[in-house]
Amino acid sequence: MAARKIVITSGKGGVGKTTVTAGLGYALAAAGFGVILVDADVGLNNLDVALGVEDRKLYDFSDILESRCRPGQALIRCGERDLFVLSSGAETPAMTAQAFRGVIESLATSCDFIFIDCPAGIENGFHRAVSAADEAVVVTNPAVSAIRDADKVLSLLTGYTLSSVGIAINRINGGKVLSGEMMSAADIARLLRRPTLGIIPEDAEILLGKTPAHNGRSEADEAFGAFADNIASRRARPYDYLSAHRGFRGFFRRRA
Amino acid sequence: MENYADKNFKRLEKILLSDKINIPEGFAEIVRRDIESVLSSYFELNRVRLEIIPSAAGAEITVSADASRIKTLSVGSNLD
Ligand SMILES: Nc1ncnc2c1ncn2[C@@H]1O[C@H](COP(=O)(O)OP(=O)(O)OP(=O)(O)O)[C@@H](O)[C@H]1O
Ligand SMILES: [Mg+2]
Repeated sequence: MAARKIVITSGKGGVGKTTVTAGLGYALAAAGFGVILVDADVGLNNLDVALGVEDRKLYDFSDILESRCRPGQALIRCGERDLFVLSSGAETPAMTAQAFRGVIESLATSCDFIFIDCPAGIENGFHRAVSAADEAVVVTNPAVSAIRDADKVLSLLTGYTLSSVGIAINRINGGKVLSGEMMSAADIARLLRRPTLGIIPEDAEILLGKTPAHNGRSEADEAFGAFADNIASRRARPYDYLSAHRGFRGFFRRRA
Repeated sequence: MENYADKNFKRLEKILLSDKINIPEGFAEIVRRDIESVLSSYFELNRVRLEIIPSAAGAEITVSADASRIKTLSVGSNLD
C-alpha cells in the first residue's frame, strides 16, 4: 500500500504550515496511522525544532541525496507512536524536484501518510514540495494579506496534478468572530471556494512552543483531532470552533 | 463598534476578483477613448465614462455618456 502524500503550503510565510504539519502528524499517529513528516524548507530546518527532536538528528534529506544514508535511516521517531520526521538539511545541487520526489516515493511504501511542510513563498522550494505530493492543503489565517496569498497559491496549484486541494484556517478566535472583529471560517471558505478541512483556534499553548495534539486537552488539540478525521476519511466536516464561546462555557470564558 | 469582519470580507471580495482579472494600467482609458470616438460620430458629446468592475463571471462593464445634441445624419436613404 502506498501512503497518501499531502503537501502543506500557504504562499505567505508564518501563517502556520509547520504548526499544522506537526499537529496533523500527532493527531493521525494518535489515531493509529503511520505518519512521516518531511521538512521541505531546505536550509532552514524548522519541523524537527517544532517537534522538539532536533538534538536526535543523525542524518537529513541532503545525506540521503548524497548517499550517506538510506531514507529510512534519516527518520527521527517522535514519541511512542508511528510518527517520524525527516529533517531538511542544507540546499545541495542534488536537491532537484525529481530527486526529492524519488525519496518521497521510496518512503511511501512504509507508512499511511506523508506530509510535506512547504517553505514560505513560491520559489524553487515550492515547486519541489508540491510536485512530490498528490494532495494539497493551503493554510491561511484570518488576515486579509494571508487570504489573498492563499488565493494566489490556489490558482498556482491548478497547474499541478493534484487529486484534492483543501484549505486550513489557522489562528481563528471564536470570541472575535462572534463580536464581528474577525471574519468567520465560513466567510474565508466562501472567498477561497475550497473545502475547509481544518479550523484551528488561536491557542496560547502553541505560541509557547508546546507541541499540539500532545495530550488532547487544549482547544487546538481538539481541532487537530477533527482536522485529522477529515483527512483520514476524505471529507470536510467543519470543526465547531464557536461552541466554546457560546452558551455557558462561553459566558464564563468571556468574563474571565 | 465597527464590524471589521464585514468590512474585510467586502474588501477581500474585490481584491481577489481584481487579482484574477488583472486589468493592465491604462487599459480602461484606451477603451474609453475608443467608445468616445464611436459615439462622437452620432452625438455632440460632453462626457463619456467607463467603469470596469471585476465580477465572479469576469467583469461588469458600465458605459455612461451624456450629449448635448444628436447629430443629424442622412440614414434614411441608406436603409432603403
Ligand atoms: N493556532 C495558533 N495559535 C497560536 N500561535 C500559533 C498558531 N499557529 C501558529 N502559531 C505561531 O505562529 C508562528 C509561526 O508558525 P509556523 O512556524 O507554524 O508558520 P509557518 O507557516 O511554518 O512559517 P514559515 O513560513 O516561516 O515556515 C509560530 O511561532 C507558532 O508558534
Ligand atoms: Mg514553517
